[in-house]
Amino acid sequence: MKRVFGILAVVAVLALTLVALGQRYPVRPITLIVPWSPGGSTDLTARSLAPVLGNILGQPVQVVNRTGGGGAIGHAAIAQGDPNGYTIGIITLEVVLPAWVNQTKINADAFTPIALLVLNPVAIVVRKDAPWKTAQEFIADIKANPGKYKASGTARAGSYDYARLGFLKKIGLKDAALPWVPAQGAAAALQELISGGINVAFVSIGEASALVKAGEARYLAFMTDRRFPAFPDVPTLKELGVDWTFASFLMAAAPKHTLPSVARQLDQAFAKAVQDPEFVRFMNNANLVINHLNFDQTKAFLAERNRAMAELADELK
Amino acid sequence: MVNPARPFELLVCLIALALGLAAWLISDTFPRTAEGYLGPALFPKLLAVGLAAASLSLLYRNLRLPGLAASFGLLAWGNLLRIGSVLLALLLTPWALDRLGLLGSAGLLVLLSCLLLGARWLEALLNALFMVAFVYVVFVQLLKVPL
Amino acid sequence: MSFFSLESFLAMMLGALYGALFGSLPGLTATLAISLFIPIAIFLDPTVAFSAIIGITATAIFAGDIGATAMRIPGTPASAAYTEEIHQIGKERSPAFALGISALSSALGSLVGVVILIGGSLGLAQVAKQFSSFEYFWLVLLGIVSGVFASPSMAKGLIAFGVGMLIATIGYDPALGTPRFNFGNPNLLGGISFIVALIAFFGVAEVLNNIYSYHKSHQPAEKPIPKRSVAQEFFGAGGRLVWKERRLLLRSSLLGTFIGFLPGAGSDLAAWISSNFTRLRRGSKEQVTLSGASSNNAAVAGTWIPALSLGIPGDTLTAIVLGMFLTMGITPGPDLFAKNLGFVVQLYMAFILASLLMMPLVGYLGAALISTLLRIPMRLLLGAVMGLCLVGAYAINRNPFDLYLLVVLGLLGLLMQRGGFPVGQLILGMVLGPLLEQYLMMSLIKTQWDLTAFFSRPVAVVLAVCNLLLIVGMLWLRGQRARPNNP
Repeated sequence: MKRVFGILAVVAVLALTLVALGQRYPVRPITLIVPWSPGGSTDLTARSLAPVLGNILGQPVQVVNRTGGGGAIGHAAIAQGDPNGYTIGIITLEVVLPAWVNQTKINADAFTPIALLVLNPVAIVVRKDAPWKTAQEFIADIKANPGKYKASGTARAGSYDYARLGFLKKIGLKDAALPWVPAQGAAAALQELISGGINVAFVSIGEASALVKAGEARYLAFMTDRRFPAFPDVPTLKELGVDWTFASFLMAAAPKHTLPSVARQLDQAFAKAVQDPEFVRFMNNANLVINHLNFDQTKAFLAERNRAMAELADELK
Repeated sequence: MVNPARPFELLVCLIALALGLAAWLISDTFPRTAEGYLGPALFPKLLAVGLAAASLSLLYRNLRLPGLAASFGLLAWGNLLRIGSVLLALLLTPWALDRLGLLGSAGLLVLLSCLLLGARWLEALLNALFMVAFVYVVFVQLLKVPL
Repeated sequence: MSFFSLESFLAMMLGALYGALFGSLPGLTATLAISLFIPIAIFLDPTVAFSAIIGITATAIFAGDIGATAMRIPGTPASAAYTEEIHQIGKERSPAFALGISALSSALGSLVGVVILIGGSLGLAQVAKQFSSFEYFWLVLLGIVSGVFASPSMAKGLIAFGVGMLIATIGYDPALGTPRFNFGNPNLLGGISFIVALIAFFGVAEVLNNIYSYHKSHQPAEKPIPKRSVAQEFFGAGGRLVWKERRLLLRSSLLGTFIGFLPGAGSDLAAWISSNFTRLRRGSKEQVTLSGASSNNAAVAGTWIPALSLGIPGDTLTAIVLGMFLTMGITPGPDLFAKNLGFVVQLYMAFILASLLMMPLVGYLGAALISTLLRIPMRLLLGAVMGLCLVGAYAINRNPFDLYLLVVLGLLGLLMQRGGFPVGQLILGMVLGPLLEQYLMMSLIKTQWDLTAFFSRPVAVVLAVCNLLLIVGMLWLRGQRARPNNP
């Protein structure tokens, strides 16, 4: 009898704690804000993650696109949301780009970073008949002929422009050594590369992969820490002695001042969600590379990126 | 032959001229490129020139023809007031959104527009209710558009 | 894997209906349809998911015409190229006839596009490889020039274009990233949403226009219900017209496929150029609709040319599908047809099936629905349209600021419509303005402001001469037409 009571007591206590924990967070649906339009990589990631995340947290997660202002509207909506854990969102590389921060007055400090989800590393891409066989030849050539070749990838002072600036800075060159031709986006820049309008494109690995597989273009190097599994033959810049990495990223974040306990709970939920097989399969199909970091690592990552980009702002005058 | 379109044509010409002028003046404040060329200001300035040329030539043609005063007499002032009230209602919707939600605001707008188009009260009300139901069923339930 | 199982067929059918709803309602787009479908797609078998996506894309673009016919609100910028005409046909004769023309010519246009895609992909890809910013600049300029001359009054056409392009300069500059004309308002940083502008200029302006012509004592006579059935009008009369104009249809489809490879705006530009060319030749409303609809859908196939043979996706939809290809081990490029012939043929068959079956089906359903809707008195129907405009404009961004834009742009649309300005050309200006500026700035920066570079490449010279011939020819024609009236 005593034993039965003991077990019952333990069960009751456990149940009570669970209820108490459950009551803290979350008890109602969570809104996941996407600052970019439907169909883009941020939106696709959020929409495929939301049902998985909802199962883990036990509450539905609603994806809401708040677009406009080149991402400013949605990022502001995340930053200004109630810090109670019911408004979270996915923030992107823009929050550390000095030009964007200056114009929108939204910076990385406005958020509680929770988990890095996706990294889209940038590649140096050239036409199939380009004179350089390796990245070393390319670097030597621009050092010998500064200003002769032209690069593109996106608008001036856009994300990939910083990828180029950082690369140039690490090999000891200035902005004008490899001038930037503005393009509307990666597709337009790649078209320009193929038609001979520019000599080199700085775009994400995924954006150029079809072109490379079709044999129209070659990767010279990746701006990653380690070799990229899908293309094991392409060297990283680090291997070549150029200490530079660059990737656009998608990061789950909450408004600043969100309770640490809530942030931790979200962190655990995201950690579990990114391992869901259906989600992983979808991300592979969409050519998006899951790159999960936990709460503390994410915070450090964001701070490091912020510093690296701010250093480049001086280069841009 | 009095042309009822003329007052509107005049007004659009003036708007286009004003827009062109404003674009020219504002784009003077844009930064130049590093080489000293017009950067972001180039295209708006080209447009401003085109707009000014086209609207001035049209203005000239419009004002030279006889019967301008008579064409103003054809304006339906009462209906312009109705249009003003619909637009005013639409201007107030962002304020109403927080209080009535999207569906409520849309219903009110439908009601108002129907009445201004000469509908009777009952049919306008029914129409508004039907619209709200339609949007709810199709947008929210069927297509799962987040509203 | 096979696309020809019952499951795949059902998925395609459901996808087509789902896409049609998105395409025909204001504010809902094909990309939104795909992105809301994604969470479901990841739990489906890839073949089934793929079939559904093909169904969605085949109809979501075409269904833009349904909104244009019923409410004068085009669902896509491409439909905006012939919205005036298709809406007029629907009003004067019957919506079934209007949609019959557009559905049948869309289906045939996309069939032509797919056939060329199969037969001439590799050849066309070589042409696409010649297109750098200079060539694109001249091509976009051709779209604008044809649009100006297609307007009844050149000055009015120029004003409509100028205002449209100026509206499109609001926000980040496409080349250098400087914010322009946003007056410190973050809502304007990214520019004015295109869909909101479509809803304002067509939908809101149409309701306002009807309020303006409202007269208490003189209610417009209720339209007599057409005697002939929807099927007769849709397939019979529509089919006869399409057959009669088969040469125009073929020409427009070829033009559409060719222009289709412009990344980002292929089908829009195609629809505009070919309907403007038909207008230049003083074609009837039916001919304008037919040429616009056929080249629009042919261009959708055209966007696959750079995607499949070079690996450059033109838009979000192509990018998603291209991604699915790569993971299935299918690589785009010259080897595609040699290595994966079986798969490619199946895929093409699925596309052909989708266009030949789904477009007429969806168009027919739309026509039947509109014919019923039109029995509702105008005063109630237009009120409901106003409500849909509000919901649609809000749904696209969930930004209350867009509702203020609806007011300003709707009023501007009304004034222009009443003053006899071509509102459609204003929309074209909004589409082409940013492209023209981008290719202009790109070319100038690339060559350090050397203007001779615009004439230094063979294809660029050909396109420049086309522009020149069009301008000289049209000015001469206008002079000829004006002479008898001047004493």
